Amino acid sequence: MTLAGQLRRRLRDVVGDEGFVDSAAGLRVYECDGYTMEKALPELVVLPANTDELSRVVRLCHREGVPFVPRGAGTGVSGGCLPYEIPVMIGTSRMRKIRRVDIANRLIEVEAGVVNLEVSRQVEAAGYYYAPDPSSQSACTIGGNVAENSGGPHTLKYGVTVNHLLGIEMVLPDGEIVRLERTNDITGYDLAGVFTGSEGTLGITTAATLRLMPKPQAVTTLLAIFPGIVEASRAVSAIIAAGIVPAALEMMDALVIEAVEAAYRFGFPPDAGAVLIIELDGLEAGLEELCGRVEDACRQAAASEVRRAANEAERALLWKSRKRAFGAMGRLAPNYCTQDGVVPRSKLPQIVEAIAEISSRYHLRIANLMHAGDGNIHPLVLYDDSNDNEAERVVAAGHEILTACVKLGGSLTGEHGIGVEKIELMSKSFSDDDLSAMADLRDAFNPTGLCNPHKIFPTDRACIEIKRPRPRGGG
Amino acid sequence: MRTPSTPGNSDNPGNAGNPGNPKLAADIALPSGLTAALHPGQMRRGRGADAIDDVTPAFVLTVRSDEDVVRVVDEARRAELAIVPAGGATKLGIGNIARALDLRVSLGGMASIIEHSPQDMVVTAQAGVSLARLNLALGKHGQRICIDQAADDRSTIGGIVACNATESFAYGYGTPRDLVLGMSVVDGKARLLNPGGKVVKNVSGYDLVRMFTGSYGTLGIITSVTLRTHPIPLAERALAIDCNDIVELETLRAALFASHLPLACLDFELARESGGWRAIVKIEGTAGEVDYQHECIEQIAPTRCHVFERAVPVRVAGRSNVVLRVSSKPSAVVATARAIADTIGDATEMPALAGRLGDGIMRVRIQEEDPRRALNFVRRMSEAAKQAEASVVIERAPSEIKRIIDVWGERPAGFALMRRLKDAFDPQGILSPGRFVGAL
Ligand SMILES: Cc1cc2nc3c(=O)[nH]c(=O)nc-3n(C[C@H](O)[C@H](O)[C@H](O)COP(=O)(O)OP(=O)(O)OC[C@H]3O[C@@H](n4cnc5c(N)ncnc54)[C@H](O)[C@@H]3O)c2cc1C
Repeated sequence: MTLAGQLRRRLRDVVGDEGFVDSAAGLRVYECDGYTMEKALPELVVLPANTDELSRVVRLCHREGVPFVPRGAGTGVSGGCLPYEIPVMIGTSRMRKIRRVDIANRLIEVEAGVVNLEVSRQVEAAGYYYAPDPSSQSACTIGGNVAENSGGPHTLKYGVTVNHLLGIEMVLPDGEIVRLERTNDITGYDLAGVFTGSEGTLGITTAATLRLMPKPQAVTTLLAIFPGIVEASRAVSAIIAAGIVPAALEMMDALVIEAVEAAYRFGFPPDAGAVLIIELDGLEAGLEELCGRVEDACRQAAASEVRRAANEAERALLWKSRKRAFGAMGRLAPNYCTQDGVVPRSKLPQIVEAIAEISSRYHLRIANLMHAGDGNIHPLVLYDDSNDNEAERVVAAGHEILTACVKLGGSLTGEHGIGVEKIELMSKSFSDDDLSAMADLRDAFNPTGLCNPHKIFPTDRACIEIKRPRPRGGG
Repeated sequence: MRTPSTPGNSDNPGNAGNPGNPKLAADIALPSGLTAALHPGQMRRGRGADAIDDVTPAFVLTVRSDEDVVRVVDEARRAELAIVPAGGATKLGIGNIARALDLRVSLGGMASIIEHSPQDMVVTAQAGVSLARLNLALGKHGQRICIDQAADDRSTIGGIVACNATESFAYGYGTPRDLVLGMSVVDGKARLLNPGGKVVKNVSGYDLVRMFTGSYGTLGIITSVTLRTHPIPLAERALAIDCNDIVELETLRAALFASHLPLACLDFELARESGGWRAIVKIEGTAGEVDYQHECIEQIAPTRCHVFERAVPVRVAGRSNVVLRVSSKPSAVVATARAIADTIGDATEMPALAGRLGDGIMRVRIQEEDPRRALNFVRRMSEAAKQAEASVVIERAPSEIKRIIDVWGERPAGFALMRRLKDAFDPQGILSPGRFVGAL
């Protein structure tokens, strides 16, 4: 499909030259997100400066029957904004206004292109923060967070994006602007709630109202070292069984530790089989007791050592090691592919075993990073793209891991979404009725199907499979 | 919510009917597909006590399994019979008068706890399990569901989720929307759906759980739910803080709201006996945390306030046939409460006013037999709330009033989308027709 010159001109009129990208070099940036196994070029990218412009862009596309896809920072890792057979990409990078900060009601309203970390920065001085903290928080946008219902290390205690969403302003796929409230007492269906996590297929968020949390009075971060991942998993269960809900409960296995240590030199012991990063927060009055109980639980689960971060600098370095673990992977292999599955947390030992078996059968090294408290695993499949057929094996191994998660009573994805990556697995996870109900929902919001087609569901209209281009670069 | 004073507050088939009911649904026969599929003991003719508002259903069906529900909806949709699902019937008073009501479908017979996995802090229960029974079972493992209901022995988990109902715990733990992880639900197309799952993080496909939660039985009949559990705290304490006037209440609210104290509940009430304003907080945690918070509250409270321990958070006693839910925002909640209090001055009987300082939701209740006076009361309260930029939902009112006023108030933004969802999931409009906002 090539766009008519007239539509191009009109789109350019709406967003102006600075919001219009159609040069080959300019478009290259938009050919994929963090999921690099598939790539496609849009015909053009428009970057509206505000809701009104964005609405006019969508109206034009709607009128001409041209598919479009929203994009935030492109840090998604399931190909959610892959412009496969989608001529127009609509980016939110120029929509970065903080619309209002209302500390008295603990909320903030920001435009969709505002970066996650910026929200907390805005209210830091007042003693508040925005709780959902994806590891990509210094780059990813609030619009992308809403689209993926993103989580992060601290969602164990505080919940994911939707638990902090008080309303959205959005542009429907026909261009209409609606504001959807999401207080504790909304009247009518929870439209903003059901929209959250829809991966850009139901419309485009232009602004979001977010709940702010007061910073906890005290925080302690513990590092527990285990001989292996099974022992660490046992400690996770023991902590939860003791009735403690830590703010974060993260696990890294030996391979991840190796990469992270080489990159950030935190001082992880070289022989550690697995580590848990456990953060406890709340009132000073209770923290010491909780820490003691967590330390006991870890020791009983065969931890060789449990340390507390001595000061804020050590705590920051520990979190940097964890949050930038992805970035350190390059030290282990030229390429890696991140998976994102969920199991009931009591099933962590089983999934770890399954991953080890899949790893040896496919002759692929797999490193394990987990939001262990949530049962949310991130196996990182290491590979070398220059080896023939290796990328195909990576995809197949990843699918086997996710299928194992579903069999253990879990889910295909805890925070990265289905995108294009996991389309084929949807029918393994849901019945035909469930899939048709989701299609009903999509059709209610997006009846023409022009908004981000070929995502989440096998394309039903044309019944085509997404073609896998020969994979190129890695992450 | 308290016991509705409308007839029919129990789904117990042995409950005697109220013969003097004004309206009976058209005399219909049950479809043969249904009479063949259900046991005779699961079907009976409706009587006065089964009425919802003043509409008596032609039949009351007691379902026992997901398959029963699929069968009932499928037959109803072919025969175009209107259904209202019912659990413990504590919230059936909420909503407009149904456009039609042929079948009252009771989920009371689906009352087993399917699975509790303490390690995963997740529980799955059939819709008809009462909150109290669920919490009793969880309590054996040191866990609980952080939802509170006045009539928790009768409020079923299905009904709670269908109404997104919770009370004081909303401040510390959010509403059921934040706690429901998955469900089984039969929609108006008679599809048995299983949206969500049993894990705490899940973004595979659209989250229809959030659509069905709080949809008041207008999109589907929930047959079971999976909820996140929380540990029972090691210690807890409820404190009442008597303020000398409403200015003190606002000072206290603002200070507590701005503090770092992780309060479980932050409520207020207008004490009926004294006419004084009282804040009620619930604190939880380790023994040390509870003592510490208690101390902080003593310090935060304006000097003339009286702080004392109290058994339970806000519960309003007394009968009421008119209940209004008024919502404002935290910074305006006290002003709203004041506007409401100023307006009730000349009511026949002193109404009750209580609510949540944390999220700005309060209820005004009154017992008023005279429909004209009741209507007048509703109008004055709605006007006062509107002046204070708060919104009002009529949670309970005599049918005479419901015939005149949409209990949900104005149509919300996005109503056209809601209409489309209703049409998509209940194309024949057989599920609680007309009961929800904008007569959905
Ligand atoms: C190193 C790294 C670490 C990560 N860690 C985490 C983590 O800890 N937790 C987590 O949950 N995720 C994580 N992610 C994934 C990713 O960062 C999140 O999914 C993020 O929310 C995507 O935001 P974005 O702005 O980059 O969105 P994009 O990648 O641009 O888009 C993601 C999807 O959202 C849609 N979209 C974007 N903007 C809008 C909008 N305004 N309206 C409607 N739809 C829109 C797109 O169409 C696409 O489907 C990580 C990714 C990387 C690369």
